[in-house]
Amino acid sequence: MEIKIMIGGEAGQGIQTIAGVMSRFFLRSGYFVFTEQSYQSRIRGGHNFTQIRISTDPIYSSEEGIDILVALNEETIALHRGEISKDGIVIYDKEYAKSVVDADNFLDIPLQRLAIERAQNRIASNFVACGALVAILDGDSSILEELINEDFSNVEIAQKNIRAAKAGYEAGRSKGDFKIKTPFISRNSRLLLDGGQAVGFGAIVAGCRFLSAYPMTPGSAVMNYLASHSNAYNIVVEQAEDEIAAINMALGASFGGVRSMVTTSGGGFALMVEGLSLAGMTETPLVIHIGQRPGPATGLPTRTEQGELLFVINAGHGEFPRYVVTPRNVEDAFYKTIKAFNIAERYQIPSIILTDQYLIDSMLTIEGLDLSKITIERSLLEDVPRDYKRHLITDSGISPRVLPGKEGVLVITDSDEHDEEGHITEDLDIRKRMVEKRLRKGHSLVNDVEEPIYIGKDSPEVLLIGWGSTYGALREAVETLTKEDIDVGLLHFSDVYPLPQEKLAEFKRVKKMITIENNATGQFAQLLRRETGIEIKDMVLKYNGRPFTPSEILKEVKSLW
Amino acid sequence: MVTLEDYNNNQTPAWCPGCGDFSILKCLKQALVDLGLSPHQVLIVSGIGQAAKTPHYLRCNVFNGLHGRDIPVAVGAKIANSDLVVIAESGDGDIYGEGGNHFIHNIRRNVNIKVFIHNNQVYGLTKGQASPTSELGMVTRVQVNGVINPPFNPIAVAIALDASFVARSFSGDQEHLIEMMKSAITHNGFAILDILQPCVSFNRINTFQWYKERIYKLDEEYSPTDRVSAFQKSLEWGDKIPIGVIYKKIRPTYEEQLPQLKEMPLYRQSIEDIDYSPILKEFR
Repeated sequence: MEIKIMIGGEAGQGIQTIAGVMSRFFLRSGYFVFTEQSYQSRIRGGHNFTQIRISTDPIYSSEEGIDILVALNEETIALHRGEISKDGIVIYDKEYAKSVVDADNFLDIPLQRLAIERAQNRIASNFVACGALVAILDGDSSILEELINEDFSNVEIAQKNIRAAKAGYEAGRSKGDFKIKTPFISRNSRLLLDGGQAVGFGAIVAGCRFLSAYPMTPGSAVMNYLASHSNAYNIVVEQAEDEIAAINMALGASFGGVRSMVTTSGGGFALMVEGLSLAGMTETPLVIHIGQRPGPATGLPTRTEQGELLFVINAGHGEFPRYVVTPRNVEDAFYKTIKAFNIAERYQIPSIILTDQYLIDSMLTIEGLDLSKITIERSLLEDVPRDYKRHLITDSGISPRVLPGKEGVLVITDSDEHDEEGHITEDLDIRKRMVEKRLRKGHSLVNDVEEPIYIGKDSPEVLLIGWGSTYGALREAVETLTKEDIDVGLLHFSDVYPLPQEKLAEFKRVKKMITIENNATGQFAQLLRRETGIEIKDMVLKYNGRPFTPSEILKEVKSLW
Repeated sequence: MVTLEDYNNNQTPAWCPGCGDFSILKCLKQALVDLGLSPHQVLIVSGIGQAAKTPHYLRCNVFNGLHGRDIPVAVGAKIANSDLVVIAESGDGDIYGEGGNHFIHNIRRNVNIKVFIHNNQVYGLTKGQASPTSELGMVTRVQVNGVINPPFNPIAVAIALDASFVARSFSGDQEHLIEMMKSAITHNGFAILDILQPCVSFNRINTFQWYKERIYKLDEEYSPTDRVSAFQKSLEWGDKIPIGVIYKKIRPTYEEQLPQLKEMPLYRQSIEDIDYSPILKEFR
């Protein structure tokens, strides 16, 4: 059983609030939930919507179609009417949608009147709608009440919202019985989280205790998340005057001895690039989170794209190693964020976590997160010799790292080319040896990258290749194709740089390879060609600012058959 | 006991003979010795420029970063590791030009770091272009008809932003400079020390003699705690140039206001064996 609910309205109507409450309502009722938010770059007005897709079986992405439309304004009905399924239902208020022709599936519920009557606040229409939705789906209204109580620490506001929800529930009940139902199934220990929470939680567990950032959507989600836990876990979150300050502050904090990170989007990262190169030269560990959104320049600030892959891999003047990971979902984002911190300190390089608005803002149900699996590897030298040299040339390229402040030891580093001690030099022999030392770290790093995962038969006729947040939609598409007896496999990358190549070699004989990317120029295909010589002829590309859905991939892939 | 010898290293300065930087370096070592600080307790962060080479020429912890970005690195390092005495040291082009935004906002932030600016009113390393503090009319290889932008007044800007400590000294008066460095280092808060300095290669106007004729020391009658008179003092430039502590304001530092830093320095706090299960509950 699967149901797709869309909640739509203007910015400022509390869509995000009830989307969060209703997503957890279905989680607690025993369903798998995937919630995708689509919003405009404005504080009030416009058209924002959230899709809550729920199922009794695991689901991994958003999907086309609407079974229930909760319309908090008239525009929502006009825009999405065509997507409603045969037995679909619309919950709306005739007061703001007078022109809507009454039909059996259009349930007029006085959302605004009930909100004002019961909660003395028109905004509470959103909770009236929640109550109506729960009634129509035959859900357990006590779970809704429990969630409102948890989310609103102000008792008075919680009570008002509960009264609004109850009024909505009664109004919904009076509308009769419907085919679509989501009765309570069971309590379980599953988790529901979005990408911003996953990266943020991963960073906290990894021991990140300093984050500096300049607000930029969607990267700020991670800053907001760490800030909301900064008192409980002693994390310093500093809003910098600009992105250049942010990356330099984080480098200072890392040099000072604290696991540090920055979070931004493509435009902010563009400003950080000189600092990225500084991390490479001074061998200062740093974790950089970049939530991609469509560019160039300001682009579409609240939409999604995979447009920064090549930028991120090539960013920074000069040559130095780096680790780039593109988490495929929230679970992967949590573990890979921790890995990014360990890699950054082990190799004393920048680690880049490349996500996107779709991953950051979408909630996925997962079975759990295993905190016992986590290790924190600081890779610091314990016994420091008297002749300690910060940039000692070693076989691995990794110089022993010590934090400044130890008696008898000096930690010296320089953005200029430097000698082993860290002092500025123009000795061209040392220069050559230092370049080679830094690059040797990248050679060992290859052993630490994770191979892509593969879903499908051993030697498929067609191989789909993807990376990052497209995983959920690709996985569902491939599962459907397999059910239709179509011989297809999916190779999906999370670690992308250095590019893992072992698994890829197994598919050399595949007749057809198709890359699927949320960009216009096939950046991963370009990377594949550059690193392996493999030339991809068929690409499915999407670059209108919206993520892929499984059915869209199905259609596109079949057309290339 | 810490001695000057503890601060000497084997590096040879790449400065022009007669450069004011030599004098500043000497005073810096003396100030650190006088305060009884060991080299391992000191971190000097610098940017790019002739002044920014300074930390290489004495024994201490060094982060020689990018042009204009010394203050953010110093601030990050101090937040992480407040056991260190952190000094950001660079030139007028670096801190007032390229790093202007950081100069402004870190006065507001008031992290307990020291900023020593070698202010020679010209670009040295790139060979003689105007700096933000170059005088009107100064002819350079780029400003071929003379500088037309009025000079940046760091002292006035700092006082306008209610900086915690604002002082000026002169590389040609070592006794005064050592005193000012020591006052800045012992001050609890963001301390700015603008150090006037001749450039023997590129600045033919503001020579040692030029400064010598104009500089006067603020005496005990001057009160650096009155903001309005300090602002008036900051506008004095030309025939008479005051040196000394021009403005001082006791303000809570950034570190004092953060609950995260109350117990112990951030870098010493354990990140292992922490119970994160309360966070997992948020996802249910």
